[in-house]
Amino acid sequence: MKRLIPCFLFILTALALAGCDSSKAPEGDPTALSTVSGIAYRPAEAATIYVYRVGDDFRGPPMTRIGPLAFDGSFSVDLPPGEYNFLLRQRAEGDDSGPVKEGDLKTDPIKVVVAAGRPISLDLKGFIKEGNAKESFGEEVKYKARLEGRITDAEGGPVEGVRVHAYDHVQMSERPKFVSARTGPDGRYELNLPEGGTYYLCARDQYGGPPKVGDLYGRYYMGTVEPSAVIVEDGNTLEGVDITVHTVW
Amino acid sequence: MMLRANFYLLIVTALLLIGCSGNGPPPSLKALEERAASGDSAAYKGLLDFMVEDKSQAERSRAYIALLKAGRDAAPAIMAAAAEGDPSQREHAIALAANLKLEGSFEAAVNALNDPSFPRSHSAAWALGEIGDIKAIEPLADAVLSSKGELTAREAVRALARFGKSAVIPLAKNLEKMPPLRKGYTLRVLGELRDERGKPYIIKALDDPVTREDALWALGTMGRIGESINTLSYLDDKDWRVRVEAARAVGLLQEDDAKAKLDYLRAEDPVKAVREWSARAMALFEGNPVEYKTFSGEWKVPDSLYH
Repeated sequence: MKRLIPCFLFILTALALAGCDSSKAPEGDPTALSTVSGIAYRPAEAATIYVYRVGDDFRGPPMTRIGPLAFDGSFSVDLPPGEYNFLLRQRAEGDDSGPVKEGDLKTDPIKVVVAAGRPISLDLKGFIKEGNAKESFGEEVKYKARLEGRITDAEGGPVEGVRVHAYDHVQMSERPKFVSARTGPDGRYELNLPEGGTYYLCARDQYGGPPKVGDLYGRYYMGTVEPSAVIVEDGNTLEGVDITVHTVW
Repeated sequence: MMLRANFYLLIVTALLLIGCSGNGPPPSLKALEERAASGDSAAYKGLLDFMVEDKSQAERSRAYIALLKAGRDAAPAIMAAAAEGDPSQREHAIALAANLKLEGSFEAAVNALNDPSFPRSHSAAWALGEIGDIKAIEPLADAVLSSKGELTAREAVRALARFGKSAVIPLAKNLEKMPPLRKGYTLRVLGELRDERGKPYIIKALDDPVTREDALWALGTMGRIGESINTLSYLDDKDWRVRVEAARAVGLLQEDDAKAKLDYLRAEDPVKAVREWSARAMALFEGNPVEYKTFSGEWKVPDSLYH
């Protein structure tokens, strides 16, 4: 098996180099997808690459994610023309979202400009975050408002391991606009927002898609069928925004 | 050779002893799921044992889904667990009984709702809404007023909303006796039920500053039904949250005489949320997006909340 690894890496390198050959780009279609591929070094087995559109908040959900990566760190993704930021993260605790902490593997954001039908070779060099306890991703984002509260179960006990999802529309469908880190053993969460406004909240243990039977889920609501809005003003922290979660029956 | 034969003999004896004593390791969740899927009714009790408090959420969910798939064949085991026992197991059993519409599920849910020792009575409230038997209205209305847990009260209000207009009077008649939070839930659901018999209760709640915000939300949601009331004056309320709900209400109710005030508020109110909601309300008159003025002097269209 060990003998196969260099051979496999050679093939990957050759494929990556072949991908750089711009002579293969089709002509005429300005919307054609292009492949961005490469290798994440360190090695970055089980790391995830987050692809954001330029201007997206790095603390929110990405446009797409690649991974967890295989043992050789190779990756490939087809993207429409546009500008993107690639970030690699591997959290030591195994989470797929939340702040990057000391000991986690990461890269700085790498801006990639994708042109129609032109493959790109991109190698990512991750490093272990150390020395600075502050999250570095998204530092450029200035937060103006914040929600805080507790996630509890039906008996009022704290619930660990769920995230608060904030939506800017009442249907709470599609992707949430902002997502908190997972709650710790005390069930507390903090959700920083780039601006105050009207938000609709839920807490859940899964990410993506509508809640399914068996998931842990709860909305912020006032007994109504329609979810209830949480309104927070710029410059304010709204405390006590508590949500109760229970199994989806 | 001799050694190997002795070893095999030892293993066979041990296996026989385990098999005969009946004290072998309990079957795994995976084994129980497979047995339940093949119709082995002996697996149902084992699955229920994976729903108890000290199991993980993932295990409880898997066991729940396996029993849901087993359906009515699992009824005896489910109904026994719905009557008493570990709170987590009972919660899941009540939900299963309601989902599967099992015989006796209504009685089990009512008993659980009224059982002061059951800490998860919210599941019983949900179950009664799911079962849909109209006899549940009174016990649910009582739970809104007097259940110990806030979650149970909120789930009871929501369950009542599923009964539609039949729930209006049972909900409204207890309004004055409720603590403020529960009064708020009830007012809002009365708005969602859109029945004119609920309107006088909502209008009365406008007098109390504690429930004014909820009452305005309810009036806006109810729309032009029943007795008409002008909510314009609440656009001047000193509480900005009341002004937000008043702006929403005058927009939804299409109160023409509010237009000038909304136009002022979207530019001059000291609270951004009021400016945004005033612009949203104006958009309901105009049929097009309307901007509000930011504190830096720019004009901006607020987020569309209903896209």
